[in-house]
Amino acid sequence: MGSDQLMSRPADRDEGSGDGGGLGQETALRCVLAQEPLLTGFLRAIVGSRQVAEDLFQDLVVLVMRKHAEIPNADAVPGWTRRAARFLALKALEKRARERPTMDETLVDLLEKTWVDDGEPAPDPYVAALVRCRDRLPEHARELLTLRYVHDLSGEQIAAKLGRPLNTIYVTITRLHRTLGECIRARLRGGDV
Amino acid sequence: MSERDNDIDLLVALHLDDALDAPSAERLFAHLRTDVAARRLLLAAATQATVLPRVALEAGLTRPSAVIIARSPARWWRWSAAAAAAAASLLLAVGWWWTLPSDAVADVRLAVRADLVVMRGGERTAALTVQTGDRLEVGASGARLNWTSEGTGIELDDGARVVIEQLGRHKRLRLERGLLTAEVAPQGEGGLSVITPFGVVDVVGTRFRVQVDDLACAVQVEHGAVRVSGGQDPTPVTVGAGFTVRLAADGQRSAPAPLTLLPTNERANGAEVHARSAPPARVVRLGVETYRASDGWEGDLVDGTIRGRAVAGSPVTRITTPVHRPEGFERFDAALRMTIDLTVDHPTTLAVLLVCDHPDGGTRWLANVQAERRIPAGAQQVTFRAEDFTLTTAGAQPLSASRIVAVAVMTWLPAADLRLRSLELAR
Repeated sequence: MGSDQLMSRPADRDEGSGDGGGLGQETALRCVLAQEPLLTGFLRAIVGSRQVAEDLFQDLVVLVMRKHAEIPNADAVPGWTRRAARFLALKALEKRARERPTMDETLVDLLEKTWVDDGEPAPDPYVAALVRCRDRLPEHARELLTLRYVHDLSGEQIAAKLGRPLNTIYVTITRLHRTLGECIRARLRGGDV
Repeated sequence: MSERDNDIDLLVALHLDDALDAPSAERLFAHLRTDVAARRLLLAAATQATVLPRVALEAGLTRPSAVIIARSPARWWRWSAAAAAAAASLLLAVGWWWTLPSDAVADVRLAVRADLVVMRGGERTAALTVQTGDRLEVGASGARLNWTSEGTGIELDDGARVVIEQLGRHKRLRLERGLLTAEVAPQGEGGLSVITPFGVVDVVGTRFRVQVDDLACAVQVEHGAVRVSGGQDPTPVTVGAGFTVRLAADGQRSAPAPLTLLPTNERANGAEVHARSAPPARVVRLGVETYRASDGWEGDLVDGTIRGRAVAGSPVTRITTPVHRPEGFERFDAALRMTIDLTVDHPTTLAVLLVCDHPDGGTRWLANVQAERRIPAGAQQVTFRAEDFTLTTAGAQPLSASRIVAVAVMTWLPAADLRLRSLELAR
């Protein structure tokens, strides 16, 4: 048994109010929630499944609520939550590895490094840029993304609905992500695409 | 676009659809290890995939003018400027609420499926929203009710029959038959009640399932808490996260029991809790009488008690029994009762963690369950029952009758002197 298997703090701790140093619970939570879309996106890049990524973010929030006093200040939140997200994702991958192929720790580290090296964008400008870029897409492209991510249809269901080959649907969706990504980067840099 | 780019595009989309097979996964991971552009693409695609549904909601793209086709029950996430207010409810339920302008009382959107029958006033109707009095007969594709102003959603499985008895601040649905899965935002002064032939489930903000068949109703709570009334006992019972209760046609209501006791298929189908007969009763006693340093106890025999040791780098004092494989000390099931005879020098939180292995023995660790209680200073006996324990590890669940191979008893600062005399496992 590792010590991490035997360490679990009770949920009703009244310590860690921030009085003894570190962030208060409310402040820490607000900081984490502000990053939610980007953190969940990072988690989804690792685990693939939307549902698993959202579950992991929930676990992350609970972790923040328990360990907020360990975060020294608001500036430290992005790094702390990224490391915590990585830890939770690796735990999830360990469990999922029994059923399906998953990334190893080295690859997860590479993804994290890429994310950090490219500079984590601020959530609000990112979302605003995504909205503008999405609106510039042709209607059929927007419809495809809506079917996939708003109506949460699988690639198979979309292919059946539109009468197109499955691989074509998948490749087209990722091409749209490429297009959106270039547009978003340009907007965040301040250019007008 | 090169062949390589085409392959990456295909694999990224498969990954985000959770549809990778082993060879495809290996190809994707190989690309990601060597190609930073591929990693950037995956991160970008995953983030866009996460944000696009949220911005669609903001733009009202899921309002009634659009047909909403939901594939499977979704975990609903919302964030708002009232995040701090959400924190108080988070420990009980994933209770985020969306600050969209609220519609009129009945803003319930209905996922339109080809084989869903909506009866209104005794006549079949094609409806995108539901009204009080509507009767839903659900076909193979299932159905979904969405309260868009508050983020509550209810998924109905094939064969379910539901009557909308009341809408508005307090919602009442009558589940006559079938399976209902609910993700319920905190209801505040309102509420959601699911009425079954055998009893009523009152929801305050949670994710739970209710299954009704000819003989019984089973309630399983995954997050939050529900209050269940019915059966011969008129007193409602609160069913917390990770527990299930059964209401039978003969009026019997089971005590809440851990979901973890059920095999996966039984949990999904809301079947009877006590699916397996309990092992024969016996008492296992660990402590001063059985202590031997060479056995691997974490703790020291001092003055006729086992004294806990401080855990390096943490505010925890801990005593751990030796790991006992493959037979374990005892089986974990609904009848388990643990009694601890101990002394602490300061009021504290006492936590007991059970390390569980597979029921068939061996050396494969399965999961941990933990129970906690505030205790005063001094010498005392503390008893925990099976329903006090909850899973602390994600993923694999202890199966019914899994083996307890080790026990950890922990206290937190300011209590520093934890003394154990005995620990008894019985049923």
